[in-house]
Amino acid sequence: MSVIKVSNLTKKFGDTFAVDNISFEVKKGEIFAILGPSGCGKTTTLRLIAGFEDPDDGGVYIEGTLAADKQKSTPPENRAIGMVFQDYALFPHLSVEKNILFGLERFPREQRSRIVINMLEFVGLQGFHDRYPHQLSGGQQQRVALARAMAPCPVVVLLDEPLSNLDADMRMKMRKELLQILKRAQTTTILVTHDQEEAFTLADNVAVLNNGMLEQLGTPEEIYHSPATRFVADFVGQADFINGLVKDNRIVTEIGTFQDKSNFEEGSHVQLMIRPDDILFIPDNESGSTIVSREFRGEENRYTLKLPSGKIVHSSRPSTEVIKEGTNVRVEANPMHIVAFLAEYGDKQNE
Amino acid sequence: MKIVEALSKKRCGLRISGLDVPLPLLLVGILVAISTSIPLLYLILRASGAGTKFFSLLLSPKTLRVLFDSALLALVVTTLSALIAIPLAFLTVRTNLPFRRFFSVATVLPLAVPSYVGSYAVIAALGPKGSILQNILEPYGVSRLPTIYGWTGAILTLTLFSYPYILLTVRASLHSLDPSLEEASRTLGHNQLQTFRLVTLPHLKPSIAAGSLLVAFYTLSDFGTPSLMRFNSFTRAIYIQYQSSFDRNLAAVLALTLVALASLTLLLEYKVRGKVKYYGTSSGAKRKPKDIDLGFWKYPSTAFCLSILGMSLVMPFGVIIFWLVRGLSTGQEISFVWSIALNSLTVSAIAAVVAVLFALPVAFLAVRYSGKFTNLLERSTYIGFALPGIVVALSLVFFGVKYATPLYQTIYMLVFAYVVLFIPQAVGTIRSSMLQISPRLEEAAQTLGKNTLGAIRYVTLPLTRPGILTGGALVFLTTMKELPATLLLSPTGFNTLATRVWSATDNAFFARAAAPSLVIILVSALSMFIILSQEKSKEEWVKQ
Repeated sequence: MSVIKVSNLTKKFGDTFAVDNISFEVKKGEIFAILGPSGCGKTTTLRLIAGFEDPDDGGVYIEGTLAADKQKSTPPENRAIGMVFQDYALFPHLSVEKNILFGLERFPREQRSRIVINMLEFVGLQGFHDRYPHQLSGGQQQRVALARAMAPCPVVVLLDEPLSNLDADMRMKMRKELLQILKRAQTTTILVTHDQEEAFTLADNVAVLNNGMLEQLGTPEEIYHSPATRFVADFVGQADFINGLVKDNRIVTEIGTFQDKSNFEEGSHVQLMIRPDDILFIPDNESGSTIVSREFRGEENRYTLKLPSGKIVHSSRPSTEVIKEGTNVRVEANPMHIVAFLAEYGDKQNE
Repeated sequence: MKIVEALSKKRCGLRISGLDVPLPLLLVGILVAISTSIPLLYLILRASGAGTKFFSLLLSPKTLRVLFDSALLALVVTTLSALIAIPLAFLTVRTNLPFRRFFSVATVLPLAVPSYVGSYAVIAALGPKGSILQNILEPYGVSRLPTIYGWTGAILTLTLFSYPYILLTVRASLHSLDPSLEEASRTLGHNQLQTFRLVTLPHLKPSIAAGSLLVAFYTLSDFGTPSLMRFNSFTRAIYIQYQSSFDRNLAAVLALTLVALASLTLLLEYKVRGKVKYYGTSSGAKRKPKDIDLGFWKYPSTAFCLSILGMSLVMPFGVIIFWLVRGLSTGQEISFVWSIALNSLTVSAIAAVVAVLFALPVAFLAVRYSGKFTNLLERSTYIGFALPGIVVALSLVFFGVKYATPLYQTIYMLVFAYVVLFIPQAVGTIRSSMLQISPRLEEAAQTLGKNTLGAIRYVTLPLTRPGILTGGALVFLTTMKELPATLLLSPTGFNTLATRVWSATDNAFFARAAAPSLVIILVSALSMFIILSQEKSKEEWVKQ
């Protein structure tokens, strides 16, 4: 039985569909990410699960029971969900201890302070009981918010853009810690983010949303290597698209011929998606491709290559070696990770 | 932990901007909005009940005379106030006036003197019989001074104690003037005086207009000065009608005309205020303009500032101290004052508590469930700002006598009048306080098991405390110095500090009015301080 099930969930604001017929399930102990650009409906979906919005169609099920649909809705305080807001929403007039105690009214009095001590230890903030939110750093505030949400043992914890309020190096550190905390507690988690890296490092499963619609549901690897739609391919990681023609059940492009896994019709024009880490090149004076520019990114060099047709692609190489701009190269692609889409109206077809 | 299904609710039919408004909250809000509208609505009802007589009354010589006199008074007072305030503003902001800091603060202080206390001071100093001046001149055979009542007294008092409204707005505007504009004018061949006329003055026009309209509004709606100075403006005319109680219809017509005029003035002020710039126009670093060197002119300027302060600050205090000492030395009873002070304190405290209690739901609705309807509810409570106290009092007298006789002339009616008049202050401060609380805090409380009411109780209310306290303090202090409603609606024999000053002045018992006046000035200064510091922080906000 899934902990959270969302079924044909729809929400409109005026005439616009904020959430359009979305369905997914989250299993016990799973960390589930909803990923998408701003305005794609991910926060609205989270709020529908929490109970701060009510569905116009479809349903939200918590541990098998209907929590909300078009007709009725259980208020948030009765849904046994915990939530960490983007700006943490710590109560400024209460100490850390009182913040965490806030949700423990249903627990017997004797247990409450022990739970607070345990939670603080769990998130690495022992001894912080008497501090007030304004005395804490961003990372500490987030940990208190997490402790507060988890203390009442909710069936699921919802995280709204958990790391976006932190600066870059805090973010890296907190990502590891967050994962540790969530996995150790075996908490079922749903997190919402626009940061693909965040979704990939934290989540077991990812749902990619765009304009209220579910584009793809799968593991991070599936999303990255086998994007189901053009949007997912583009949104998740860098992607280049090369024109291809389907001939004899193979896709012919200027950098090679590849297997037609999707069985397109003979003669179709397709777009091949390749990631920079799947494009290889070797200096070769005979070939017609050239290195246009090189971008040093610390761990890797990102090369911009121009193919004979004029098409631009990118390739990543470890930064231990440097290949000069202007060098003639032969470009190849790793056939394992090629994904092909039917060419849409508007794609340039300069073969 | 299983979820508790039992409370799965049917959707409330009322949706305001996508949120379910808790019904009890909405009902209270509507109740408050209706209550604050009762005085005005009833007045309109009463006036329309006069039927065709309404227009004949409106256009009768009596009414037209009152209208003319009131308008002329407002015009004269405003002009004189501007003539005082604009130079003062300029001197204290842009020149090297000696003791500039001192004058900056002191010239605003007359705002703390309520009009009836000011009238008391003027009459007790310059009145025809028994005043200080008359006493001084008595040995020289002057047994009676030319009358201070009427136009002279009214204009003098109103100008002296309302010019700071214009002073404040013009000063703020001067502070925001970009010096490079004036410098550019100089490079284009204009001297300082021409620059003032061509560049500075146009920049100041909106703030002068805004301040002037405020002065006009207060002149029209003031009761203390016209009544004590025996000047027949609207407020006094209404009061006389109430006392003589022949012509209820005339009183209603007068009241409505006053409300119309006052509202019009306020509306204009609101519109003009939007054009006042509080922030500089250039994006570069703000440079302060160089102080203008007054040279020889600093002597006449200082003399000017001192004479204004002398009349508007020193004189009232001097008069009060004089009569206080006189009263004590001739064995006047001071104990009398304590029971009256207690009355003032008690009724003001009650009004403050009631006002805050009813302001809370209104503010909460307007902030958390913002939408056309709830905003209308909130706005309707602001009626109190535009209604002169005498109008509310009169309307409630009519209403009380006709429909609520048991309540007429009881403390309940009085408190109701105070609440109608001053609840906008509480709504305003509570609203600003609530706006700063993120809705996420309330939602967090819900995810931790509290329902909507619990979230409000444990999160919203504690965090709104500053607004509640400020609002309560403002209502308390403003009620302490309120006059017309108290005069008309108090139970018989119930006197407050304000009515004490008024009746003592009216009967020329100057010594009796001294101690209460002192207390009232202190109270008023406190409330002014609170209001001004709120304005200041709002300005800082806008500057960012």
